[in-house]
Amino acid sequence: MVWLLAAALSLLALPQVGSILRAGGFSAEGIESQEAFARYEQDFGAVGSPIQIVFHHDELRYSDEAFFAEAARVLAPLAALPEVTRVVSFQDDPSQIAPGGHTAYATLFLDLHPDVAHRIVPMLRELLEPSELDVHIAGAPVFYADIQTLSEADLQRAETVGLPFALIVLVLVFGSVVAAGIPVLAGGASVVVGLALLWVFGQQAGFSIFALNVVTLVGLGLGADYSLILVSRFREELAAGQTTADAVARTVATAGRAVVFSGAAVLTGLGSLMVFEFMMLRSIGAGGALVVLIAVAAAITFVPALLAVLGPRVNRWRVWRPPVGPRNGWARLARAVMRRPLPIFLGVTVLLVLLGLPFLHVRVKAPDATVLTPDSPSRVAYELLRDEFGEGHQTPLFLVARFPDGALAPEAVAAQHALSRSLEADPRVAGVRGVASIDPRITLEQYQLLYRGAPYISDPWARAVSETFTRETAAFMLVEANVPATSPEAAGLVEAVRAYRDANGLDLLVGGGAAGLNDFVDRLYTDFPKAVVLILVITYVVLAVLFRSVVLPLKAVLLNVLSLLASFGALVLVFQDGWLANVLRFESPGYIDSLLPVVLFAMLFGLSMDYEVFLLSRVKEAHDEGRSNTESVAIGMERSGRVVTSAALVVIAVCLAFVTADIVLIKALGLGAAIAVFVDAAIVRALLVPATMHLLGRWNWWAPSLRWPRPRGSG
Amino acid sequence: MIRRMLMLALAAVLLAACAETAPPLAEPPPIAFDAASLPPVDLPRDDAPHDNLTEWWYVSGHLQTAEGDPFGFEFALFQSDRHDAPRGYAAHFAVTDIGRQRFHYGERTEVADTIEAAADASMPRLDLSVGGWTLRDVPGGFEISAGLDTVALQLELTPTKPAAIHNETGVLDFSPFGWSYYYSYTRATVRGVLLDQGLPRPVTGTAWIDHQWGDFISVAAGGWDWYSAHLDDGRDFTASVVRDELGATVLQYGTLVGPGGATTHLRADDLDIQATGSWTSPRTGAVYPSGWTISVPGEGLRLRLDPLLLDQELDTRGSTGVVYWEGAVSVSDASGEVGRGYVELTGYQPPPSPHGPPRT
Repeated sequence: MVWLLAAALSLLALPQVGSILRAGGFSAEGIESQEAFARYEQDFGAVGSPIQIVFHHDELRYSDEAFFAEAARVLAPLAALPEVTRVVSFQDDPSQIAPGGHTAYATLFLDLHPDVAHRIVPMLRELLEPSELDVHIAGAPVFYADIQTLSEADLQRAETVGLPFALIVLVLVFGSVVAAGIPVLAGGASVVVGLALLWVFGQQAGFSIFALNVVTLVGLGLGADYSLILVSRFREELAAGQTTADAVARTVATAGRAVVFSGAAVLTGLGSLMVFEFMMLRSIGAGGALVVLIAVAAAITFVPALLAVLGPRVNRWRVWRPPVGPRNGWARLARAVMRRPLPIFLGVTVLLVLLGLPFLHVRVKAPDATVLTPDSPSRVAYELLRDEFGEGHQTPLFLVARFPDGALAPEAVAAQHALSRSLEADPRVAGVRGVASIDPRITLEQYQLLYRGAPYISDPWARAVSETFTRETAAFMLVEANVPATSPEAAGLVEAVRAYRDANGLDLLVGGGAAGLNDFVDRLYTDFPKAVVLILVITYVVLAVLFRSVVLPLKAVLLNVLSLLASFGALVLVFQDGWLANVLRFESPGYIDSLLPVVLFAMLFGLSMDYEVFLLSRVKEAHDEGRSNTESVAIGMERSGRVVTSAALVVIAVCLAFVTADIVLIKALGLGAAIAVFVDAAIVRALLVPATMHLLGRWNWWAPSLRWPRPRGSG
Repeated sequence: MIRRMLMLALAAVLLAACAETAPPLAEPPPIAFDAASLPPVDLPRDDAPHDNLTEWWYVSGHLQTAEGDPFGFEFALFQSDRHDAPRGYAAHFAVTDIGRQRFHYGERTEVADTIEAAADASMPRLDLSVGGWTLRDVPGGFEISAGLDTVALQLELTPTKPAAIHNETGVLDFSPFGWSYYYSYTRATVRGVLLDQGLPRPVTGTAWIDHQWGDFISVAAGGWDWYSAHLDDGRDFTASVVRDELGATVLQYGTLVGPGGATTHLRADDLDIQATGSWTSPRTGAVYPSGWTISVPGEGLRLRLDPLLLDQELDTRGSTGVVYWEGAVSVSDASGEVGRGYVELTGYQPPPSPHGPPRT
């Protein structure tokens, strides 16, 4: 009743979840590009959130009255919004007019924090009146608004596809609609309650837009997965002649316990994301951990309660009669493997390493607007601006400098002029904007003369430029690259500017564009090893407690790394190299979203270990009953074979549903998880575990004489 | 297998360590300017706009209606070319109604590529429009069109003398400020229509056309006084005085153009220019010299220039960012009035914001 009530109440909160979702979350202390932005705000004042209203006409030019009058008409209602603090039209700033003159934009500055500015975008779109000009809205808030829209659509599609698919698999597994419905119900309840709690806990700090999908994927997958284990065990116990009450008790004590440990492993992985400073990852970690707890709680409270109410009726509404209980095929497979353990171990390991080899040429990059579908409004606007203005116009490098004697003092002008000239001469640079880069024909002496009378500057251009790019002792420059911000050349340009800064003793910070992307990736992969170590150590400890062994958890962790490696290799082939891109309906950007390996590792390390844990729990159960190592493995395989396969199929079904997502990151998470679960369930569990168990022999069960926490019952 | 894995891992680490470091920023090319390398002025080709930092066309003159009512006018058009930004244009238009003692002026700006590619690329055209005010070349001369609420002009200008190429080649090197070309059609007959309170009135008169362009910048402070006169004996005279931010004269020179177009360059020592009075603007507080005596002893000239209206101040901070005085003056000598002229005074309104370097 409590669960049903919670789920019902949660349904009421669902429409509100969007209100706590935040864009961005890619900032952290100590990152130079962030410091550059902070310094700019300190010296020049807060900029708010800029949005570009882009106007285009194939024939009219910006200077035609029909063009600018129409642009002014379209702009008027947007500019009148109270959130809009400033409007810079293309007449005010000629840099907002594209070469050719058929495209121009106005910039609206919103008095909204960048994390929440995306919420105004639907209103802006409503206020856009039909026009003979092509009108687009561009900018980071629009990008995040589209991410949220796509994310919610992805979610709905994944649920629409995944739940029925999972139900079909469950019906095939159990043969009964009632039994199959329980995991679906538990998975659905986990997601609904998880999203509601996300809303509750997100009131203060909010959660990343991406948390929505991760919570749903993990909640649905684990909720169904864990329930399946319990329902399966319950049916097994009933078939063995237990009463309903005893069967429920036995199920919770055995399968329930395995679920708790499995949940602990998954929670460890997702929780490790908290070591990152980025809000985006922390909130995925927190949201994921939250939904894992809910899925485990549902499995050990909600499902047992349902089973107790249903009793033998769990087998009602039979569609077909699948075999109940262990199947000998799995035991035969285990024995066959254990007859030739070394060749199989070596063969499978080679296979997994080969699958993982593509990961050696992985290129990780922070993503840009190309993560959106080609018809997403913000991507259309992004590509129009890129085509019309050049690669670097929307994502310029942002150089913020300080000059103690004044930003327009002769020495400061000389320093800025020298840097500007070097940048302008660089083949990676399309253009530079700053007080000493008005025009390459202007000499240093001329610049110094222009600014000699500051703040009274006679030349209108110099005056306008100095008002934009300098304050008393502060100056900034914008550098537009002619290569994509995600390219190695752009990264090299950032490196070169920083080297120039160091060599010339400038007090200058480099941010924006490629600097922001690369700094983000650098920090991400500085912190990633910490998260990996944390995951490995905690998982090891959790498994050591579960198995009361030193060697088994080590082996489990190593085999899991192998299966993840294979999954990562496949992701590189698919999402970086573009294999199956047509089938999966996406455009390969030629790199892997830098977040993907991190989130995937955190999410999958626990998830993909499930099946090995369930198997080893059964092996240990047999070993505790006094069987030999080899016999225990065969019995463990025999007892867990069907249920593990079924659980894996359900999770794969749910994960594959996310492959229908439009957002490439979500698509990749779904595919990566499906592959990892498949590798774990089909290869590691079926082949590697029996082989290594046999090879290690009694060392599997070796443990120093410590006071191990003794769990009640066994898995 | 383990060995192979280790080798692969080692290879990955080595690859990362040996990754090519990014090339440093490029070395900028040297900046060099050699005034002697510039070609001479080529007319009428050079009447058209150029791809230089700064360029302007100034037309000023005196008109008379059929009824004999006198008017002065000024039409100036500025072009700024900065790198790859669209060109910036500004235009000033002023009419001095000498009979009614009224001064009308206005300004326009446009950020636009108003220059259309010429049909014949070998002969570019002068055809500019700033906010509807136009300057274009026509066979034998030029046309201008500009208007305000109360007054408008449509004029045809026909130079009657060849262009006066200043400094012989027309190139002035005033480093470090830069360099410019400078020539003047010092005398052009004018025919056209003046719309006076909406009433079309045919006018005739005489105009002075200046054209200057080059890669130069405006000075930070100071200003200049520019004088022009059409003398009844057929000669034309111009003089310029450039001041620094402290008011000291840093450059003074002039040109005398004979009735047939022959030019005589006047150096600082050849000229003596003295203000005879001052006028304080009630709007801006700027104090301008008002009335001058200009002597050119070598040419036997001693001229007196007097404003035909005291208040001919233009506040053009909305376009070129400056406040200046440019107005119609009478020109007289000991014998009485001997001509009409125009005077421009910049740099008298603190903070000074002259809109460009002097018309040297």
